[in-house]
Amino acid sequence: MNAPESQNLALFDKTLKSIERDLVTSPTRLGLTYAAGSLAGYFASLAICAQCSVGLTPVAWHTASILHQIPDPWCPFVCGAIFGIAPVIGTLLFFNRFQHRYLLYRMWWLVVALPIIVSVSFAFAANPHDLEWNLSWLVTAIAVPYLFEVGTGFLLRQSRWKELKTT
Amino acid sequence: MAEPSDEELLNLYYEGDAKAIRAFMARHSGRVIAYAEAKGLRHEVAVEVAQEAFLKLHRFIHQYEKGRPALAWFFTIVHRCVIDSYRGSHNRESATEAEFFDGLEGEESALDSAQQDQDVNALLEILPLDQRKLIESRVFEGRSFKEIADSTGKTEVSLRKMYERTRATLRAQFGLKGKEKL
Repeated sequence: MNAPESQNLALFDKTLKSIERDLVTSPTRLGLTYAAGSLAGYFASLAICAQCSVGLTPVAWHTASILHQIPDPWCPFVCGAIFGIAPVIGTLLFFNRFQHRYLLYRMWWLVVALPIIVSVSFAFAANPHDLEWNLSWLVTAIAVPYLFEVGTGFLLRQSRWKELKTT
Repeated sequence: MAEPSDEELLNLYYEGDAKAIRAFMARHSGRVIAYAEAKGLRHEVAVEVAQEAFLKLHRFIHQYEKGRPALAWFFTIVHRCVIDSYRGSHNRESATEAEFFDGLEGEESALDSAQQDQDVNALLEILPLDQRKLIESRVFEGRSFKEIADSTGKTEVSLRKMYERTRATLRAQFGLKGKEKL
């Protein structure tokens, strides 16, 4: 940046700061916030519904006992969906549209990796269910946040992806 | 490494990159101020207009379409901010030709030639009182035809016709003055 440019920028210091508040100044910080928010969401889901023999509150066990009355093909899907959706809702609360776009377009690898790492690790830890149940749960727990993020990405794109037809 | 183009900067900004808006602002803030000053605004007002333009850019960046020339799109926002600035100040004395001509769309060539040295107040003196008041209300005060119709008791249709007649008169007058200069 040359001297006149930085001189001009000084006039807009306040405006720039108010705009930058919405944007991503540090990708590392954004990634850590996302990871922390997601993990908090997973804990929240375990507080709402016990999963794979892990329940953090009495309410979670009560919810799990109700859900286990659902016939087996559906039980793992419902449990997996509850496990997967909570962190995504958490991130919606933490981030504005700019930060969410940054996460989806520039740090997509984190959005892809985190549900896989957490869900696989969790499924392997003390699980009383059979393989079929586990696989159904795992696929749902990973697919739900992906589908949710794809939906969010679709909503966030707004008119931006409309390529100009004229050259 | 080559510096990113304006289009690339707006794309990065859309994706939430704070560095991109900083670079875009550094690159164009001077130009925005110069544009507002060229439209007759004082330096302090021009800086305020530029700040408003960047805030509007932030609000409407999602409407920027990929592939569209970034600067042209951004300057439509700047131009609207300049007009809003004039409309915000109901002070006719501070209004200059630029704002006046913005109200008279399509007279861009006249704007370029007349902007420098013609006095709007003197031009308005040639108009009948009701036409002059209409121009003042519509252009300087930024009121809608409906508002003017309510306050004057005339119909919107007749006001629009009078406005067109007045434009034609002024257009002819600008043409005469242009020829005199030649």
